[in-house]
Parts: sequence; C-alpha cells; structure tokens
Amino acid sequence: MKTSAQFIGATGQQIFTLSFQPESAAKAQFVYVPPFAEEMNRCRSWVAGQSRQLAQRGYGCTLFDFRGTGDSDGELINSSLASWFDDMALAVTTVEDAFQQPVILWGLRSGALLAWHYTVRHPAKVDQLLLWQPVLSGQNFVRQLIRQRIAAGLGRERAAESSDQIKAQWLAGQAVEIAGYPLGGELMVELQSLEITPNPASTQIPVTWLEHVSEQSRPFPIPTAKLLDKLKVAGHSVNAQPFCGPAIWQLNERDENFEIFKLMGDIYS
Amino acid sequence: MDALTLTRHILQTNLQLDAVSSFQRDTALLGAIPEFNSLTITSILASIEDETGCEIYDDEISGEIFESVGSLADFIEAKMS
Repeated sequence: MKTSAQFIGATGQQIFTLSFQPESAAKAQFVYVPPFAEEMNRCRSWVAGQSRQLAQRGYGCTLFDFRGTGDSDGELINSSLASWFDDMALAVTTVEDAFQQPVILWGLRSGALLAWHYTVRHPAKVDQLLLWQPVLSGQNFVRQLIRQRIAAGLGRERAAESSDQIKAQWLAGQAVEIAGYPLGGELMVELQSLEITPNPASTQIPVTWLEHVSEQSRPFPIPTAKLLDKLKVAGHSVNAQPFCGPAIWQLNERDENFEIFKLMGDIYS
Repeated sequence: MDALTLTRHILQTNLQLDAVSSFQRDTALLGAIPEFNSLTITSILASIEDETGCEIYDDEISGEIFESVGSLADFIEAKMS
C-alpha cells in the first residue's frame, strides 16, 4: 500500500488530500467527502483505518479537507456551499485524471448529503455513491447545530437564546460561534436548503447506504426508512445495510468501530 | 420498551460508557458526568426524536431534563405518549 499527501488547486485556495493506493492497479477510486466540524475530527482515524483496509483489498482512497477546515487553505467563516462544491469537483477531477478508474463518492454524515447533491449535479463524474450514516436534511442538521449552542447554555448563568435569535443573526450576515466553530450566516442558510430527495438526474448511479442501528435486529429510524422507500419508488437503486457498534461521529471518547470495516469488506470484495 | 429502558439505551448509544447499565433513576447527569456536554445533549435529543418519532421544540429544552436519569426518562415518557 502507498500513502501520499499533497495539496491540490490554485495557490491560496489549495485543499489537502491524503491518498491510499494499492500496490497494483486499483479496481476503483473512493473519494471521501468528510462530515462537518467536530464530527469530521472524531471520524478521522476511523476513516483512515477504513481507507487502509480498502487499499489492501485493491481500492484506492482519497481523503480531503474542505477549504476552511483541516489542513486546507481558507477560513471556515468564509466557506460557502459553492466553495465546498468546487472542492468536491477538484478532488473528483484530480482522482479521475490521475487514475482513469471508476469513482465511488463516499460521504459520511453531512458529507453524504453533499455527495448526494454533487452526484445530482454531476452524474457523469460519479460511478457509485457510498453513504455512511447520511444526514437526510440540511434543515435538521442546522437545527442540531443550533441546539448545541442552546445546550451549551443549559445550567449556566446565561440568558437563554432561542433558535429564532440565532437564525436572525445568520440572516443578518453575522457569524455565530457553535462549539468553538465560527459559523457564517451564508453557509448555514444555504445548508438548510439541502435535502436527500429522489432525483431523476442520478437514478442510474447505484447507492450503497450504511445506516447505524444500536442492535442488528432493530429497524432503521423512521425518517430513514421512509426516505429509502421513496428513493426506491423513484427508481434509485439503493443497497441499504445496517451496522452496529459505537457511533464514532457522536462520541467524545475515542473509540473504534470494526463492524463497518467487516461490512465494507463484504460489499467491496 | 419502557421509558427507563429506552433512556438507558439512548444514554448507552451516546455516551458509550460501561457504567450506563447500572444507571438508576437518581443517577445525576448534567454537571456530574464529564462526557455530558452540549454535543452529547444534542445527540441525545436527536436519538429521542429518532427512537420515538416525536419532535422536540427548542422551548422544551431545559437543564432540568438532564439533571438525572429519572428526569430524562420522564421527559422521554412524555414524548412517547
């Protein structure tokens, strides 16, 4: 297995990429779209571990950081949905040009929501989608971020803030700090508009959907089950599989989840 | 599943601590468990919504809900009905 790190893109707007490649020609190339803020960092070593396993099984993997996050250029406060879509396009095109192999776009949490929309916009660039524990709706995702700020004020001598007040600050173009991240209004307002919904532009692209359940016998959460039905009815080909074990994206304590590695090994043999 | 069992189940998923299985109604949470921070609260609220199919509104969220396992179980029970 070969590992290499490089910066790609125009000076001052570069994104950091980390590539894991098998010794011989790969079967396909995964391009990983990371989640947001704390979830991104919690999942880093998990995803690197998965990438190493995939490389050992003959798949290439490229991980990148969006501008304004991780080791890439830029400040989070200046990030917009447009800059993130540009970053995805840059990562996908670079991998496509370098390897000339099928591209599997692999999104985790909000990264899955972004990967879905990238695929709808550029169906010719993506051969398969892999979604890990997707965020279904940007609206709900932003609501969770707002809740973090409200929750941080619980039990403290601080005036309670409502979500309407926070949203008003964003609409006025102000940044609001949530869990240490300065979040700009433009990005938050744009994120709220994204949702995973059936789209005729991308029905021909096979989707593998891995959803976390606390026990193997438990059903998918109701909103996920409903959406999966809708996608299938609309003609999307979705292979949805449950996985158990620690919910790495939620845990503040470092943990491992090997169950998903095993499931991935069965799917991508 | 009764509310206390569901509460332990949700805490286990979100805290991943060995001690959760021995949590009783009077076990203190917010301010007593170091891992119990704003991110944990947010995840727990999302889990409650997923598990019960309910919606939680901002003005329902208060520190009292998270004082103890019992207060959280009472909140979940109210959202289940």
